[in-house]
Amino acid sequence: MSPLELLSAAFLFAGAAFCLAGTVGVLRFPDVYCRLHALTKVDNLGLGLVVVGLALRSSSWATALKLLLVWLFVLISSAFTCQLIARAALRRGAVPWGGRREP
Amino acid sequence: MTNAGPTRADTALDLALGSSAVETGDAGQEQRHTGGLRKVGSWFRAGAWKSAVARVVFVSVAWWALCDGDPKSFAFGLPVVLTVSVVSFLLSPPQGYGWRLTEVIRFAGFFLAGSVHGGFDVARRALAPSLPISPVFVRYRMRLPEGAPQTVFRITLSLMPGTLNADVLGEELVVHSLVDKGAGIHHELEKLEWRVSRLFGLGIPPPEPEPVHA
Repeated sequence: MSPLELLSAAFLFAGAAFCLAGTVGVLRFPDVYCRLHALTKVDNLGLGLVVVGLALRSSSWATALKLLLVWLFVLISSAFTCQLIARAALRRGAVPWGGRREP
Repeated sequence: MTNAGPTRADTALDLALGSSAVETGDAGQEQRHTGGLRKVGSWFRAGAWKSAVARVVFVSVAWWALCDGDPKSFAFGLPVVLTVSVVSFLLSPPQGYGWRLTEVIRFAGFFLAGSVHGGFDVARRALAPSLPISPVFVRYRMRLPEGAPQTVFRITLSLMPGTLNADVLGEELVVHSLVDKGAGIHHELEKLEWRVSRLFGLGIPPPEPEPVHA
């Protein structure tokens, strides 16, 4: 394995780990608003790392850029979707969890 | 009859296409023609050429990436790039903000660092056995003008550590924060808003130095 392939594998594993953490967040967080945090932030970072990992393996600059564009558009659409879901939940009166858990 | 004068055309800059189309619809056929031309002229006075160049470059690069840089695709790509650029200008005319490339790059760096930090932060909380969260809703009055600046602010806000834009009530944002940091949330939002205002070349005063946390 070349150093580039190793680096790419490291990024892919890190991305997969973040996607897993995002899913764990969706399952563990107590209400819809907290779950959105897990979906937007953690999964975007996970996807970003996967994109970087794949871009390192890609054969041309154009393909690498295409992957980057995929990430950019997913980023924008997930930020908007997240806001739409949060707004719909608020207006339907989904009750936010009122607990506090200090570290 | 002189409502197509320079001031009128300049205010048209701030309007969406819908309202300016209604405006020219009221005037006569002749006026519609000159009004449109003047509007285009005023765009270019307001530095819209920069916006035009940026859009054409973005669409061209996107086309080049989509076609894997195949030179054979350029014959079809050129008309596509031109059409998309023109349609983008019609759907969302340049707003005349004095943005600079250096600021855009600086903001992109800040955004990247912030979203990595945000991802790490939430992942850590999700995986920690004690699930250390104390969610809270806060309201925040935006100082940024409507349109692109507010949109960019809301998107970045949702990807920054801890905060998420839940609703917009006029000038007021409903922000959900995963961790109740008290006044710290408000201060972070102010700082982010100031960064976005700098991106658009708008003058919003920088936030006061952060108060010492107890």
